Formats: sequence, C-alpha cells, structure tokens
Amino acid sequence: MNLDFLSPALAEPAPRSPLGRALEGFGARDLSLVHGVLDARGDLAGHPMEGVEIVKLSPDRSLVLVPYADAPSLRSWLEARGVSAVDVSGGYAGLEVGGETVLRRLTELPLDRLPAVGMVGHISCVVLRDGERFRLFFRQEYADYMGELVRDTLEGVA
Amino acid sequence: MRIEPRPGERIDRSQTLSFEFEGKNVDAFAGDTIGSALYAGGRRVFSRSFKYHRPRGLLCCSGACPNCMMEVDGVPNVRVCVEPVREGAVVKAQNVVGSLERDLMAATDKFGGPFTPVGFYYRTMIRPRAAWPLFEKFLRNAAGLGRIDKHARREGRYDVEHRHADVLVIGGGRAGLDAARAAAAAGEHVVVVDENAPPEGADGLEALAPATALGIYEGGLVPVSAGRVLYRFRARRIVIATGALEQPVVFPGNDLVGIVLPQAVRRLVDDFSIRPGEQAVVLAADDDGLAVADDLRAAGTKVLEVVDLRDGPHRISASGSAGKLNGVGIDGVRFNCDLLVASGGRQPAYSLLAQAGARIEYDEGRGVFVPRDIPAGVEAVGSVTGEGTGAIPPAKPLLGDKTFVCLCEDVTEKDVKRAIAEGFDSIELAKRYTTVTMGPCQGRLCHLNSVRLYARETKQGEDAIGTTTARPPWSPVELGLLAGRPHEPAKRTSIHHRHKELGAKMMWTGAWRRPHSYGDPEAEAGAVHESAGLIDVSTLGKLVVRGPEAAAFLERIYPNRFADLKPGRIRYAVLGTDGGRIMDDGTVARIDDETFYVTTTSTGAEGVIEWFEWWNAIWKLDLEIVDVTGALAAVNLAGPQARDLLAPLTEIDLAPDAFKYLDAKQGRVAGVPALLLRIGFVGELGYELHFPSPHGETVWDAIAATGAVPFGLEPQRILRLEKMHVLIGQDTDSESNALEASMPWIVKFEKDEFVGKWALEHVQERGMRDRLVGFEMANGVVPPEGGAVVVDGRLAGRVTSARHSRVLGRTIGLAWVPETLAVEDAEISLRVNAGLERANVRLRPFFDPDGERLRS
Amino acid sequence: MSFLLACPNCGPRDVNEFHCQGEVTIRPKQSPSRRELSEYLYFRRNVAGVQREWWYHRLGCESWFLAERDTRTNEVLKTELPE
Repeated sequence: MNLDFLSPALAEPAPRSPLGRALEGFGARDLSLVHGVLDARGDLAGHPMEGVEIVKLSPDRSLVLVPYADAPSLRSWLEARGVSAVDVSGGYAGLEVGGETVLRRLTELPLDRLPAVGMVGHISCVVLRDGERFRLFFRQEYADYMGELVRDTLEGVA
Repeated sequence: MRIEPRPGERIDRSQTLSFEFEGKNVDAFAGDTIGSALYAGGRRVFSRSFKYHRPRGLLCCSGACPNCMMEVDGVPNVRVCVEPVREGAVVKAQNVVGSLERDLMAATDKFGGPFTPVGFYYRTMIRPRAAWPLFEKFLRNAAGLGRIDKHARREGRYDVEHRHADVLVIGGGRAGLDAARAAAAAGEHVVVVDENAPPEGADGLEALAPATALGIYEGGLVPVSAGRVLYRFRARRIVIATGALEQPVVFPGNDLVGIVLPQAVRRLVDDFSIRPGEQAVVLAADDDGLAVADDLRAAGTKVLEVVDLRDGPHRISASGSAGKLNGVGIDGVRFNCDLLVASGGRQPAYSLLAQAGARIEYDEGRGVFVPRDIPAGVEAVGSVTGEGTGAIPPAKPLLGDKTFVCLCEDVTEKDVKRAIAEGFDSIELAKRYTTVTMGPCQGRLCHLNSVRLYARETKQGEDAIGTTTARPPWSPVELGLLAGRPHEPAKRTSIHHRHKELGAKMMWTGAWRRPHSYGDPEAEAGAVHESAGLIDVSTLGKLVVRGPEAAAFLERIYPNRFADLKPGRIRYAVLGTDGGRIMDDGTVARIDDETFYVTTTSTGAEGVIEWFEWWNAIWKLDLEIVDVTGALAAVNLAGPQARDLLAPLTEIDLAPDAFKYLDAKQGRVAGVPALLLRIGFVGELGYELHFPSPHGETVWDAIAATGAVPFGLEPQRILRLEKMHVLIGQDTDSESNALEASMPWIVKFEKDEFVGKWALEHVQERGMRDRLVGFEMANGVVPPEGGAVVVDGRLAGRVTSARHSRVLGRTIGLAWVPETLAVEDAEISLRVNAGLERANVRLRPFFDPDGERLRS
Repeated sequence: MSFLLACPNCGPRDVNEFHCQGEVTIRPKQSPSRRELSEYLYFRRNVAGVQREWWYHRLGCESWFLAERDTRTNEVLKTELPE
C-alpha cells in the first residue's frame, strides 16, 4: 500500500475544478487544474526541478507548485532522492486576478514581499505575484466562498 | 449676506444649485455647504439644544460642535456646516416641536429648570414604577438629537482596504505638510490624511482628504474613513499633526445665537464670502484669534471692540432677545452687537496620541493639556505638541443664569458645581454624572473648560484632576464602514452541489455546510438497514503521519496502542488531553511500517493537527504530519447490499474473507485511485472510500447510479445511536474521560507513557463517579437532549442523545448517570416537559449488539 | 486586537493569523500527585508583564513558536522557534 490514493492526476476520469461554478462569468482565471501542489519536507536546495515554483514555509517545509499532471511523477522523483513529499493537489483551488487594489481589499499581506502564505479574506492563502497579476491558492473547501469574495471585491473596485 | 467675490473663495458662482429647507427653496453655489448657503440666505438659528431647546446658531462652522445638526435626506444629525450642498436635498430641523423659530419644547427652558438639574433622571420619574413607560416616552420625545426613520431604507456599499506606508501623516496643516515633504524628500513612501478638503500645498504627495483617522490601535493600526471606504493603515512611522482646537469662553449667556469661534469667521468670510454679522466684538486669547478682526472688516462688518483676554481677567456677559445676541458687557461697558467672536485659547487635539500611549500632562504655563512621552513609532508635530497654544482660565463665577460649560448636553456651570457638591469628585465620575463631553463634540469644546472649572471648585491642580480617557472613534463613523463586506467563510465539500441538486436540507456543522437529510431522515435510515445508503463524509479530518518514529509518536499521543497495528488494518482511536479528557476520536489505518492514515472528527480536525504539531515541536520525533483533509473526499456506502453494489465499480476483492471488518485496502473505484476502509459507524456492512477531492462528483455519481440511497447527518445520528456509538462533543464534554464514557478498552495503562495517563490513573484510583450509558424509554416519548436525569428528586445526570428508532420500534438514547446506576436494566427518571418519564439503562448496543451485520 | 507578531518564518503579521496556546508551563517529570497535576493543568502565573507563550501560525506557515509578550501592552518583544 502507498499514498497514490492522494493523487488526482492518477485517475482515469478528468478531474473537476472546485472553482468550476464559482468563477463563471467574471474576471478571474481558474488555475485549480493548471497547478498541482506537493507538500515537501526537507531541504529542496540540492534537488533542482524545472517548471516548478517553490514557496518555502519554514526551514523544512515547502509547497511546490507543479504542472497538474506531473505531480505524481515529481513526487516519486523527490521521494527517491530522500525528500518526503505528499501530493496535496486535490486540496487546493487556485485563481488569478489582476490589480493591486483588489488585493489590498482582500489581504493585509504586503504586496511587495511575495510569494507568501498568509491570511486572505479570513482564510489561509498562498499568494504569488506576476507584475500586476496575482495568483491565489487556498483550500478547495473554500472555493465557493473565495469565488464569491473575489467576485464581490472586483465589483467594488470597478 | 454674501459679499463680493474674494480671491481664494471655495464657491463657484457660475454653478448654482438649490435645495429645500423646511419646505422652502434655498439657493446655493457649488462649493457651498448646506450651512453656508442657509447662513448666506439669512438663517441664524440652526438648531434647538438637547435638553432646554434653546436656540443655537453656528459656532465653529467646522464640524466640531452640535449647533448646526439637521436632518438631510432622512439622515439625522448631519453637521450642515461641513456637508456639501446637493441639488434637491431635503433638509429639516430636528429636535423641535413647531419650528426652529418657535419650538414649543422651549417650555423646558422657561419652566423646566427646577425640575431638570444635572442628573435629574437619577432622582425623579422613578415612582410609581408602573408609570416608567410613560415617563420614558415623554423624555424621549422631549430631548434628544435627530430621529431615526424606522421605515427608511438606504443602501450603500462599504469596502475595506489595507494600506501600508513608510510614513502616515495625520493632519494636512502647515506642520503636517512640512513633515510629509521632509519624509518624501528622504525617499519614504508618505501618505497624508486630512479631515477636510485636500490640503493646499500637498502637490506631489499622496493625500487622502477628506478622510478621518479614527484612532490609533494596537500595532500602530490607523483606520481612516474616507466616504464609503475604510482604509486600514499600517505605517512604520505615524506623524500626528492634528493641531489645536479653539475653546469657547465661559460666561453668562455664552450660548446665544451669534456667538462664534474665530474659525467660523475664517470659514464664512474666506471660504464662502459671507459677511458674518453687522456689528461685532472680538474677544480672543491668541494672535490668530485676534486677527479675525481683519477678516471681519474686509467683509464689511463693523468691529466695535477687540479685547486680548490674555491681559487680565475680564467680566463678560452677553444678552439677547429670543435667543439671539444683541449685546455684550465687558467690565461694565456694554456694546450692542449681533456677532461676538469669543475664543478662550487653543487646546492641543491630543486624542490620537493618548490612544497611542502618550501621557497627557497639564502645562501650567500654557493652561492646556499637552502630550508627553510619546511612544516609539509615533511623532507629534505642530500645535498638537502644545507649541503656540494656550488658554485662559475660566473667569470667576458671576451671578448669571445659563453659563454653559457643555453646549452639546446643556450642562451649565451651576450643574457642574452641584455635581461636585453631590460628591462626584473625580473627573471620570463627574463626566458620567453630568454627561459633559459625552455629546456630539466629544469634549472638543468642553473638556478643558470642565477640568479647569473642576480645579477651581475643588481647589486642586488640573494635573491632579487629569483628563478622561481618549477613545476612538475621533469622529462618528457609519456602522457600515466598520462592518465591511458580509462574507462568511463556509467550507463545502467537492460533492456539495450534488446535495443541493438532490434537494438536501443543508445545515452548519462548525464551518461546514452539510446535508441534514434529503427529505425523509427515517426513510434514509431505513434504506441503510434494508439495502444501502451513501453519505458524504469528506468533512472528516485526515492526516498522513509518517516517518521512522511515526508509530512511537502515535503510541505517545493516544491512549490506544498502535505500534502493533499491522499494515492494512484499522483501529478506532480516541485522543485525550493531558488532563485525561476526551478531545476527539477517529480511526488510524496503517499503510506501511512508517506510514499511518489518521482520521478525526469534522469539527475537530484543525485542533487535532495543531495538537499533533505542538507535541512534536516538544518531542521532536522523526516524522512528518501532513494535513490532507481537503485533498481527499470521502464517502461511506453502508447497508446489506453495499458489497454487491460496490463490487462492479472496483477491482478490489470485496469477498468477506478477503476484505474483513477493519481492513484497509487500496485500488480504484470508478477509475479513481482510492483507499477503502471497512469500518462501521452506522452499524451495517460498509466501506468508507477516501479518494482525491477533484473526483468527488465522479465517484458519488457512480455509486449513486447503482441505487444506493443518499442519506444525511440526521439519519446518520439515528443509525449510530442504535449502535450506541458515542459522538464526541455531543455525548461527551470537556470533562469526560474514556473510562467514564464506557470505553475502558481504549486506555492501555500498560504503556509507559501517553498523554493523559497520569490523570486517568487518578480516575482509576478515585473510582468512577458518572458513566455514559444507553437507555430505553418505557413509553415512546423522546426526552430533550441536555435534559435532566433525576434520582430521588435530585439532578443526577443528563441526556446527551435521544431518538426514536423505527427499526427497533423504541425510543433510545445516551445519558450520563451516577456510577451506581450503570447497571443493565436499572431504572432512571428523565425530566420531560414538566414531568418525569421512566427509562431503563442499557449497556449493550440496541441494534445488532454482537455486530454480526457489521462484520458480515 | 490588532497587534503584530513576527513569525520566525514569515515575518510580521497581524495577530489574527495566529492561535495562542498560552503560557509556557513546566510539565511534571514523572507521576505527579493529584495536586501537582491539577496545578500543572489549571494554574497559571498570569503575570502583568512579559510572558513567555506558545503561538501557532495557523493561517501561515503552520509552525509552532515561542514569543515573549508584555501582557499589559501587547508588545511582542521576541519570537523564536522552539529548540
């Protein structure tokens, strides 16, 4: 027995995004099925990976954003090199939205010190910045809530 | 009256507007305030005072006093002296019966005096008690400010925005702007905030105006209200440049219409090009105050006399007719005038500094309170520090009625003296008794005078008396701004929308939305007994605990034994606190030597993760704890047909001897990788499937298509109760331990140590006092959960769960009873409504007590 | 409550990102008497001054750390990861 039962990318049917309904018809892009997430324990310095983004939470824990379908294989690769990694892709929803003002209405996190993990709209969120666009990753059980919150905030800024 | 255009006036005469006041049309220019337009049109009486209904006119003309408050478009208590005109606005006077000119309630002023001294409501209108509703109605109508229209409907959108800055400057006057420019020149990110219109000379700086800094909170948080947005500022440095407030002079007749502060003259003349009066006298205690004589002359007002109040005490009294000033006496000489500019000096506006932690001290030389010992991260510049300020002491008492100390609450000098005589001798007590500083001005115009009056009357120094506590908000703030946007962080499973589509009645469990049932809880429970039911249990907490010392960790943290759990097997687990109390429960499945899969209750998940992490922060064992609660969805398929319905969907061998009760197996269900746990919370043959959340609907649909009946939390409660399965938090509370909750097999005292062992050893030693047992009602009545267990007429325990079970045809439940009654068939009495009902204790599960169906 | 704490991993954050477990206590070394156990479980020093406490960064890095906070002013003087 192993932890393969955690990986959504190992299923035959297509995965469904937790934000599938919540983002219908407004200005935020659904990233839930674009990025997979690995919860990695240990120092990743000696294990370079391409096409991934590492968000370091503490000296021995990082979240690794990977292409969705590659999560299982990247996980195995890390485990083989002695780095514990659990595929938590199924646990996250992600969206991309634009504008500093929108973010300032969602979070107190300083937007010049990203990526960071902190409180966005009362919940924990991984926030990354690409110029004027921001990517938010959060627990998928909050997908409807965050969809509603982001939609409403966009309306207020408009 | 409006005078010729002046350079720097804030009105635009090319744009005219009009609004309605008391049914009559009023003309205005763009840039006018409602107050300036009314004043320009000749209005002098703007309101009636709070208690005595005395006529009041513009005093400060800058939003600090209560005198110009009116109702605008249904909104009460609007300070019209700073409210910009709006085309078509409907403006009304408030707190009058009749009109501003003839307010019938002014009878209170003429006759009510003897009946309404300070604190009168603590002594009168108390008996007869039954008459209070009448007294209250009378009082509420007799005094007050604006009226709230209960039927008014107003909509508004309020937003909250977080802001960071290197330097936040509060106050855009001279000193504030100097400080802002210096910081900007040094490369810092500066934001300037000012209560009034954008400050001149702020080019190149980011200015938020009009915007009010409401207070300074812990961590240097400064909320700034700007219309419909609340900005929460965090700045490395906060510069307070809030200036100083002009103080009224205390003398007989000092509340007459026509008595103004110097800033009112500056506003009326310079901003709105209005001649404030025909004949004026100017009394001031600082050079800026005296200088308004020039503004008056420039506006065409005849200035009869200018007195510098610093040159010695003067005897002043004002007189009027119908509430309007017609003359002032200074040291025996009378001047006929319709305008009296009277300022006793300027008091630093230290409130924000006090909130930040500065000490407020009385400066003897200046006669005002100044801030000292300003904490790190905060600075004060300009007149708020005390520089350039000062105020004259209140004049010796003069015989004369109606010498007002507090205009907002109609508190006179006589009232303050009476309060002192009655024993309210500390400033905090006196404030609450007299209500001085508790009105709309919040002390801006009365705090200093009242403290100095106190000092004089009690023959103490002002420093000994001190100031009352400064609290936010600095200005009134709409509740909508504080509320922000109304979003509730609800948690939903990835199968949530299927439940909605099926018409489930949703309920809250903690922050989760879960189906209570799909319409018929008893039928759903019946389906589980007869065929098969399907329930979404994705809300369960789920942890992967793995590493060389994972087993050792679980041994130490649980009362159970786990080191000997074989891979592919599951055990029920109860988590205890260091005090031996039950904290949570769930299951532990062993994946391999170093890997365990732990489940927790839905609402306990976050607490358990924190608990595990905390203990390992102390023990530092070699393992990792990974939270996969949201990563996996979970469903439970239970009932005699469960095996047959599931088999076609999976390659896993479900035969009874291949997949035994409490086995864990891995494979695919409907093409989705899954972990299957054969456990039985609901007491029938069942499989709990754990698989990745993004496939929630796929797996649910596949199983539902086989004919399994969806069931919700309510049928689940009935089913688990039939098996006498304990629900942590429902049947147990923060005092319950595993021994008294009738789960002694959980506690493995042979282990060297585990969290809670000491406390449980003490429980063993002292013996059990109460026990959690099952019970059956003699008749079908369902007792209330939480209801009393009564023994010999005394409270002896409580019912924790109770339901009618259709399959058993009886009403069953769980209750805490004294240890002596924890005997099969013992009789207990339960309080139901006002009476007692009989029940019998049961110690074995009500349904399928030997678990044959469960293990089939 | 709006003070800031400097999480040793993440830097200064609003207090509402965290959960406070309370005073650091000394756990008995071996089987305590009922009195010793009760004191450990329920008695606290509750100083009006600098207190050493456990904090969990629940909405951030999800790590436990120690802080020294002045209970009179909520000024957090020091934070550090547990040894």
